[in-house]
Amino acid sequence: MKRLRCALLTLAGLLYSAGLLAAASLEYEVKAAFIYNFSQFVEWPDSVDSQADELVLCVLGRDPFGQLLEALEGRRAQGKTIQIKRLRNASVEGVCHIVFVSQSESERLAAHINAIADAKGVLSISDIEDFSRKGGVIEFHMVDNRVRFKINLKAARDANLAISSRLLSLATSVHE
Amino acid sequence: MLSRYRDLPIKVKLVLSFALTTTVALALVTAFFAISSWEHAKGEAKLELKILADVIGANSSAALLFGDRSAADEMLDSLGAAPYIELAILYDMDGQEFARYENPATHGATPAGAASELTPDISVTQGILLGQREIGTIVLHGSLDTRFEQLMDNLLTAVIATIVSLALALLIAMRLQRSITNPVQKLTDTLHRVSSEHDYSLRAPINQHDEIGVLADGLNNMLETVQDRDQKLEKHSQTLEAEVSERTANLQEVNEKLQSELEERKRIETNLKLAHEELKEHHEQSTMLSEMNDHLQLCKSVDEIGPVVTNFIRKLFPGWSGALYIHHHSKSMVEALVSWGQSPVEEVISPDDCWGLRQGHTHLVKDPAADLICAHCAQDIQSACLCVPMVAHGEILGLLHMRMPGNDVGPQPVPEDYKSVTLATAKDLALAVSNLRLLEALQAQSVRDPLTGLFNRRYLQETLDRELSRALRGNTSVGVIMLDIDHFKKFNDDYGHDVGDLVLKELGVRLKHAIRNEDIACRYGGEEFTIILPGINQENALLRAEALRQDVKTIRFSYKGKQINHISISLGVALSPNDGTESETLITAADQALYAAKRAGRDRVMLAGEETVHNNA
Repeated sequence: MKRLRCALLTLAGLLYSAGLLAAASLEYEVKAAFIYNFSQFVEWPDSVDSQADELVLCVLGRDPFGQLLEALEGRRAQGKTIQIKRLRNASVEGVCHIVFVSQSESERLAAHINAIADAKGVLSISDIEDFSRKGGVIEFHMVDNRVRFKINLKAARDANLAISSRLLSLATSVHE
Repeated sequence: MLSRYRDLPIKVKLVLSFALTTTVALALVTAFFAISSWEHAKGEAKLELKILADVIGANSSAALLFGDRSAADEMLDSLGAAPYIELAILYDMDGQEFARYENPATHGATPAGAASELTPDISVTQGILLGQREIGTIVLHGSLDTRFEQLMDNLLTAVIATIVSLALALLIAMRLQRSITNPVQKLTDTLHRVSSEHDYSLRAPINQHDEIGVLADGLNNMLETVQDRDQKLEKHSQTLEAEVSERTANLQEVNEKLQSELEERKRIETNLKLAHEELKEHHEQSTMLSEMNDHLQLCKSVDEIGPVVTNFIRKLFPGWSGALYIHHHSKSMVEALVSWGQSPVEEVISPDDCWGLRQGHTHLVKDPAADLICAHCAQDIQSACLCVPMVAHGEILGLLHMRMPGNDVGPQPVPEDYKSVTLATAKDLALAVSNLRLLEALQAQSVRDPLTGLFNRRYLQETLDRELSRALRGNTSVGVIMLDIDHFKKFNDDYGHDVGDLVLKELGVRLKHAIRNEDIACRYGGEEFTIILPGINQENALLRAEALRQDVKTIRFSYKGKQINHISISLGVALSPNDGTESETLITAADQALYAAKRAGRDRVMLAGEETVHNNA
């Protein structure tokens, strides 16, 4: 019953998304879901707003998700409510828990990565190629038309983030 | 079955019951062990499965979330380390099968062995949680075969252990039972010996303090009691024996006393018997006396009492002698009617010859040598004698003379009872004689003619009838003579009736003398007389008639000093059966013959039917 309701809700959500965002590809839909899922396998350091009851997901650059992320807003992860913020620059410190770096920011990627790395306690995610090799934490990439991801464990460690081994085991590659 | 068990020796019973108990206990323990092991194994397996499901679930949550099937498959493949997992399926949030693992050892093959059939599979279905969100479901199917095999191994070990321990326990039980059965055996042996040897001094040799000890003590106590009783009994019996012998002696003494008493009693009894016999004799005497009296009552004349008296006197006085004398007034003397015994007696005695008659009461001669002896028995008297006058109504009627039987010893005194019997007899006889005298007088008055003393016509009639019928039976004859005094009327007229009576009286006397004892003379009426002659023939009858005619002629009468003429008679004779068989016809015939004689001239004899005079003169 519960499972049935969940399935119906998911189905309704999908139909709704498809209706509203004709342009939004299924890819970003999966990526949105992945982002939400990542939030559950990552532990943020205690220093970062441990008291706050919000988990803020920021989108840096042009938002490729359209309205898809709105669906995540209000959902709970690690006991916190998800908030969505869209940023123009990488002033993420003290604001974001997760930052999705859009393709639009490929040019300024290095600066963004540094800024994010300095911020500490921010999980950086992007589908820009070599994102993880360049110092990003999680990088989406496509394998056989399927969304997969790579993890830079060093970057995570530097950002004081603990990533669950379960997540690590799913990564296509893990950088040290 | 149960009864067979009951008869088994205790030894076997003990071992059997021990073995049974142990077996049951061990079997129960084993069973409990097996069941609980099995349950435990099942529980354990389930728990293990659950933990495994948890681990797998937790580890595959990320794969589920990220839809990474290969990661999930990899995760599930790690279940190969647990060979009892047969099937594992991972479902995603939507209930779609996400990943599947099947044990390559069992998969595809048909269910192998009996164990897999016997044992059910266990399965766990568990939701996979991420935080509080259920992101999928894992289903694990496990086989219990391995556990079951393990259990079976354990069970086999347990059974072997059970058997071994049972054997050991039996060995120990066999050893231990001796501690129970041996004392019991001892008890039984003791009992057997006691009952077979009757020796109550035996004791059960048991020295322990359990129930058997109590039993043995009880038995020993009982035996002691029995022994004690036995001894007491013996003692008692000895006392009893002594008492018995003492009592026996006492009894013997008493018995002897009793014996002497008995003898005394016997003696008394003999005396009593003698007395009784005496009494009986007395009674017999009385009986006989009364009997004699009865017979005397039946006598019709004094003469008849003779035989009666003789008969009874002989019975009453065996061996005695004596006589019964009857007094005759006319002759003033006593005449012996009958006499009895050896000693001879006088036939006729004068009253003066007897002291008894003289005194009018009994004269007793105790000793003939010393006492006064009557004249009538002066000779040849050697013993005591009695003269008892028979007196009735003051008149002496006769004399009863009794003599005791003589013997060699000498004269004996007359026994008192004999004396009294003699007196009683005399009294009875006197009474009888007196009565008979009276009877005779009365009879004489009725059958006799008072003037002549001859029988009257009525008597004639009776007698003739009797004699005729007797003659008819005896085929003899009866003669009848009718006679009549010639010219008696004239005689009467001449001399008066007194003289006539005198003549008739005298004729009667003559007739009485002339006839035989068996003949009967009657006065037929007036001057007519009849004589009946039984058993006579014609000739003799005629002779007798003729003799009578002549005799009458010789009678001489004198009246007042005057000589009176002699008389003559006419006679008619008739005889039965020629002249008639009836008394009437015979008398008529004789009467006709008489009238024929009258007509023929009187003083003659005529035979009936002949009309001829028989005159022999």
